[in-house]
Amino acid sequence: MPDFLDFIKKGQFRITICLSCRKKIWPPSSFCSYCLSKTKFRKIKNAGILREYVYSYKNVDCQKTTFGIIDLSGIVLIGSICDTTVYRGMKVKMTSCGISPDGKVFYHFAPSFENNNMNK
Amino acid sequence: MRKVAVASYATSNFVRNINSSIFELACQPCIEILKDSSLGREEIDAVLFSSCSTEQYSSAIISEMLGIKPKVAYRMDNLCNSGTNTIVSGMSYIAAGLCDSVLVVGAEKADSKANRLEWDITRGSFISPVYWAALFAKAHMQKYGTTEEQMAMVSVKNRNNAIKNPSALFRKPVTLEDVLSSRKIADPIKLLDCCSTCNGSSALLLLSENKAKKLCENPVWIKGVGQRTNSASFSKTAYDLSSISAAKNAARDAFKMASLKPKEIDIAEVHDAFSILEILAYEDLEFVDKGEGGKFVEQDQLSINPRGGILGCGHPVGATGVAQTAEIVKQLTGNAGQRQIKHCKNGLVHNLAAAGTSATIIILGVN
Repeated sequence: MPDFLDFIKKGQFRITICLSCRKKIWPPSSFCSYCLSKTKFRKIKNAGILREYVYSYKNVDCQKTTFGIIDLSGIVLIGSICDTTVYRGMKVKMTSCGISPDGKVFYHFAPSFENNNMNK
Repeated sequence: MRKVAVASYATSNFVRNINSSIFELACQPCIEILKDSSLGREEIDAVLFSSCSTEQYSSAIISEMLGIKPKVAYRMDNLCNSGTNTIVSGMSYIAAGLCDSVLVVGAEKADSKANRLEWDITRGSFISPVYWAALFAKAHMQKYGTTEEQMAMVSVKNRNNAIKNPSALFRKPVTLEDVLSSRKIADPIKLLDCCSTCNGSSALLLLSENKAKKLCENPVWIKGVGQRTNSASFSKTAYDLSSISAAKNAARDAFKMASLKPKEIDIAEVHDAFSILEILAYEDLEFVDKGEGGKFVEQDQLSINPRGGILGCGHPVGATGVAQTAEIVKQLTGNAGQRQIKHCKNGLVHNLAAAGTSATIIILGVN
């Protein structure tokens, strides 16, 4: 079975789905934490909802980064959002993922303008 | 189930820099306990070591260095609540009749890998604990009107309490202005809302009732414990940031076992790795109603974190839960010197790990 990191290194976001009960298993695992059956990697939709957000500040230049909890098609993760004008319930989409030079997995999101304009 | 007493305790100074090995650091409080105790080293049945150090066979090494040949010796790690988990394990051996005396020791070096959970890819690049703490803080402010000033008051209180604790890492007072004007890390959390990792160790000697009554003038009894592990990843707790459910449920179990109510607790050591966590603890332990934690800190609750908490003492991860428990025993036996809280009979330890995914509560009392 490939590893989550094998996909993320290629910029591909994958989660595991149980082959028996079809539940989404996140973080990924080779077996299902509900029914203990085998799983396989699947792509999921890149559209999500921002549930909570915070601004973080870099040490030297106080550069502001927005990050938050994103509900992405039923799974939850922390990602950065390339916009400082955000709000709870905002529709976002994953624009990229990968591994940064310091070895950390990252998930980047951007506002999903076409939907937000209608629902803001 | 047999009663279990905490017969003696010792805690090293918590410091930024140290030349000792993790083993020397761990032995330091144990030597103090063994020298002061009338219990022979040959009578110690178990040596349980709490640490996130990756050194192999560490409990056996510590036992050998201390000249102890225990029946049971192993290391436990559970990130920030390793210490209280190890205490509960030691207690269980005695309660079950498998041991009569257990030496519990926690130690950590400041550069320990326990400072972040690399496994949790659900946190993305926001792996440092300050990020999840900021999300809890923001959610609490939004839902209950908790303010940055109230969080800062937790830091001021605990840093000022630490002045009276010779073992604490920070022994200088800070003001509300100092905290509020300290560098922003992740809104609303500022530098002085955060604890600092450090080097430190702490140890306890647990005894069965028979041994405690023979060897100890003022034993303190473990009256109730509660432990919960909800998950390891932040993704599973992120659905509800208004409380730490592992702590809430563990507290209910501990109160039930101790046959006590929150209002009967006179003193508590709560897990204030970030100031918001102390506010959440007031609520999760049911000292106040949900949402009232921010206002509770304004009432100057001196009986919470009198040693200075994690904010004032520093956070040597594997030692923290043991040091918190040692403080409660010190207070309940009237040996806390300058920081002694008067008339305390029942005390509580609240110890969390990894974004509140797990929690341990221990209730201790003099009767």
